[in-house]
Amino acid sequence: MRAFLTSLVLAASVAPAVALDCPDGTRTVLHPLIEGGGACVPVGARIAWVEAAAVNAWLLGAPSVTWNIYLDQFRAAYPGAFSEADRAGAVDIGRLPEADFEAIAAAAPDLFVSGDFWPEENARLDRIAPVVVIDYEGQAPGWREIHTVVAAILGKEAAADEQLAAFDARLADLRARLGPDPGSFAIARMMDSGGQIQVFTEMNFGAQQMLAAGFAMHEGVLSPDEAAALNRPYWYALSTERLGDLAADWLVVLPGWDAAVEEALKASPLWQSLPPVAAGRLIAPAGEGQHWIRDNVAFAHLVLDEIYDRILGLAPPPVPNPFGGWLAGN
Amino acid sequence: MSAVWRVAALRGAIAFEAPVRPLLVLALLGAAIAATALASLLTGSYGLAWSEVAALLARPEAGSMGSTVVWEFRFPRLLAALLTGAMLALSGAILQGITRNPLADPSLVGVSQGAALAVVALIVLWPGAMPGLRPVAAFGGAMAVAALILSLSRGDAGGATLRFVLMGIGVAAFVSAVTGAMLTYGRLEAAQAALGWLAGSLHAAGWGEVRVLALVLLGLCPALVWAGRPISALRFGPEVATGLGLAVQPARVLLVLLSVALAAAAVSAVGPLGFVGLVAPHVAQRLARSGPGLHLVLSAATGALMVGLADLIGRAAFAPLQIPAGLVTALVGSPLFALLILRSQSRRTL
Amino acid sequence: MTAHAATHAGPGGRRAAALAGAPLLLGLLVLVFLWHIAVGAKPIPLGTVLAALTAPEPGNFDHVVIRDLRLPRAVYAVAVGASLSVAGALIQGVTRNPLAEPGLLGLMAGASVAVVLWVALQGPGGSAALPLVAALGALGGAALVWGLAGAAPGGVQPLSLILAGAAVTAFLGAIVTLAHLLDEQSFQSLRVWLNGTLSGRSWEVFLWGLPWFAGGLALAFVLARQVTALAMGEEVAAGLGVDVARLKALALAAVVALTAASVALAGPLGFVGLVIPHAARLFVGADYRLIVPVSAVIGAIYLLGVDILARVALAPLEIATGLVTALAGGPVFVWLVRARL
Repeated sequence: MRAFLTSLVLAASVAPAVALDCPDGTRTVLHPLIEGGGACVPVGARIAWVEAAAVNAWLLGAPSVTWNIYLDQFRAAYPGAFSEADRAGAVDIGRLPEADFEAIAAAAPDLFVSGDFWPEENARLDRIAPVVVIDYEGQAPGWREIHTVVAAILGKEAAADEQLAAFDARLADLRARLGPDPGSFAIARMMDSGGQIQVFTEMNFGAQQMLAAGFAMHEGVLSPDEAAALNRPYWYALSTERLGDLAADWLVVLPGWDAAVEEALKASPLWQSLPPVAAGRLIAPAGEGQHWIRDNVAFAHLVLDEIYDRILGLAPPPVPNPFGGWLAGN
Repeated sequence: MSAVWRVAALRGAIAFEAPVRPLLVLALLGAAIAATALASLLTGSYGLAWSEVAALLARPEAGSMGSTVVWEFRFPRLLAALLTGAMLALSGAILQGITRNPLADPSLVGVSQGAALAVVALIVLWPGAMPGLRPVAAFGGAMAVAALILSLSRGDAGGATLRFVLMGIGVAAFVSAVTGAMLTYGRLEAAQAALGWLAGSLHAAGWGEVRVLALVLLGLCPALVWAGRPISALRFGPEVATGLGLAVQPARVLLVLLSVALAAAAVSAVGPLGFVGLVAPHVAQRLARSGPGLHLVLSAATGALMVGLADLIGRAAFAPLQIPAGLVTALVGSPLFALLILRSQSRRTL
Repeated sequence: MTAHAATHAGPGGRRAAALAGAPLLLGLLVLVFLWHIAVGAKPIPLGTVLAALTAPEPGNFDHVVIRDLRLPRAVYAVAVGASLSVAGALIQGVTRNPLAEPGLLGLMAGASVAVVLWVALQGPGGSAALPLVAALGALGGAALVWGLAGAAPGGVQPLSLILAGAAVTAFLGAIVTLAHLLDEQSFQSLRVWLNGTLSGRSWEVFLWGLPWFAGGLALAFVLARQVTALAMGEEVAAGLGVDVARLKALALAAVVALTAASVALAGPLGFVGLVIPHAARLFVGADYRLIVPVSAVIGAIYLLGVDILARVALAPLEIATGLVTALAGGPVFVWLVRARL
């Protein structure tokens, strides 16, 4: 069995243009986001999704044979998405670099889907089963592209297109209600020492939804390139002294790592004198706030919900099913 | 007691030693290591009965998952644990022999910190570097920092040992601060990967690491055989050693280099494993007093047993949560060390 | 091995020089204090800084930055710098060991572990008991180190003390790491603090520590004369009518109080207590009645300077203050060993 599967391993050297010569019993998947340009996926494979794309796979109706922290975070926002049996039936690997690889082997997957940020771990996984690697770091794909590549691996392109179209319809409604110029925004989070704040650039997932809805990124926030020079393109650390840089029309503050630090800062005169705070235009996302960070279409709906609710003061239109049903916790 | 008398006594001790107890202890340690090895091969999250493991060990099956688990995960990890334990213990025993100080440990001469700085610098400053370069960088860093400490502590013979150890502490603090700065300001994912290595974990050890460790240990074997004699001479102080015809200063430098090379190879493969080099020689000493040559062998066996057990405990105690072996050795090693010192004081045998 | 540099001028001459130098040192302290407040991530003109200190306007954002962020941080730097330096001076004098320091001798590690475990049990936020917890931890760390060093062959001497300190620090560090592995959430908030930092601590935490800072410093000033005698040897001190055992206990109490309050506020800042007393001795010789106050002032100036460096070196990023103290202190330690041994 293993020898058979090993022979199916996508060769990393295959150029994207070259069609894969996949054997019988497998499906050829070509996608530019897959390392090597494509993969041969066995029909009916038991797939272990070891990183955040596990959530995308679940949204498309394909459970992973391993559980991870990204699924836990998703469950915190959509309590009805999983039953206890779903979770108990999968081997929990937490975060892959700290995982117990024997436990992964015990789950006996036919195929892994992983990211290019873990080359050494992927080489170890390859001893258990073939690994399809998504090129996140190399190509920095948008959230829609990630959903598309997951759908391609699963052969569920139609379902993914339908989910994205339903989201676009909801987004169009929101845009129409917001009007042409709804104002500027900034997204931040308190860091674990009170001296600095984490500021998210326009590459942040929530920022992309705000931009799509018609808001403009506040001019005081650095561009992804400037942020990359400091740390990485998605976010950068800003001294609390520079809080004035975040004087946008709307300020989104994600839940911090330390509630005490957050409360202390919010009680300070510094914070109180920040224009969006003084004007009551502060948006505090619900729960752990992961729906502003992790890219998937179900989280994108939650961001829209918060724009409807906090900025427009309207009850949001229902989230399409199955996501809508999961929100209620059943 | 005159130096000449002590030389005579030393020669006598070497000539008429009848190492019955040490050999017995060595046999017992060997049995304990074998038992630990067996337990390690049988323990894990992938369910395998002992008969299956035995069958797979006798005849690996290409393509079976059980075979992969035993041959690719459990076996190399066990060997890496035993080899690093033995090497760190040897390193510590040599260092304690030449400094004549029971508290000397490879991490005190900057080996761990130098290796850590090199690895973190590689990960943070050059993220695209091949993972295979990491052990090379670690080895280079360890040797460089140890060389710096050695050259800084050169000087009048009087306080040489004290200076050496203190230099180690000062330089190590500096080097650790540079590492800390890099971890704080490097990219988050890179820093996390570096932190995993810094915890001293055998979790990712494979045949590649085992091959390197085995080669280094085999390559240094002649030097280890040679080391017994100068260490036994240095135990009685530099004057006696000179009286025995030893060129003290070159011998000391060579021994330190040997000690650093052993520790650096171990640390570069699996990250810093604290307290093994400090404690294993003491435990060996208490189990059986013996000549320096046999003491090295006993220390190596003790170190191998320590790390083998530590890794077994670390991966089984809170499974599937994996506690790095380095943490287990530090938690078990340091109280053990304190106990050894306290007990030895009453008997004056240290 | 004695802890003090040879004195060429007589004690009277040193004293006169110190008195003449006092206004100079205090002037320097004020200057560095103002400099510390004037620099930061946000460029604020000096005129605004002075206005914020003398005539603050409640709605002015820059004034709020100065008064709420920079002024407390400068005050913490003064308190912690002075306390750690005086603690170092006392411990060096009493143990007659030029390499003694709260960090090297396990006091800081003990205090850190105690604080970490306390926060894990109590949840974040802390309480006024924080310095007391840190003090108990520091005392425990010191007891472990002295116990271990005393049991080693040769007894308590500089080498065995420092090696025992390293062993105890490594053990306590492993406990912190294990606790972190088992409960990531609780320890996330302590990650930065464990590196040693003056940023982001609330004024409340400083007030909790204030009695400990003040008490420790006052005790150190009172003990200074007797420590001078003790530094010349226990027999000399006894001959001068000093109750050596009582003096050692009181000095330890002062060192523990100062270390505990500093660690509770700023985390472990290594090497400050080592470097500063030696610098003080260069100026005023072996008299602890001068070494203690001069160490306090130089220590405050030093930590203010280090913290300025921590904030401007990689601006707009900040380096943890504890990393800079180690970067500066490690080489000084090496130099000390080379010069003294």
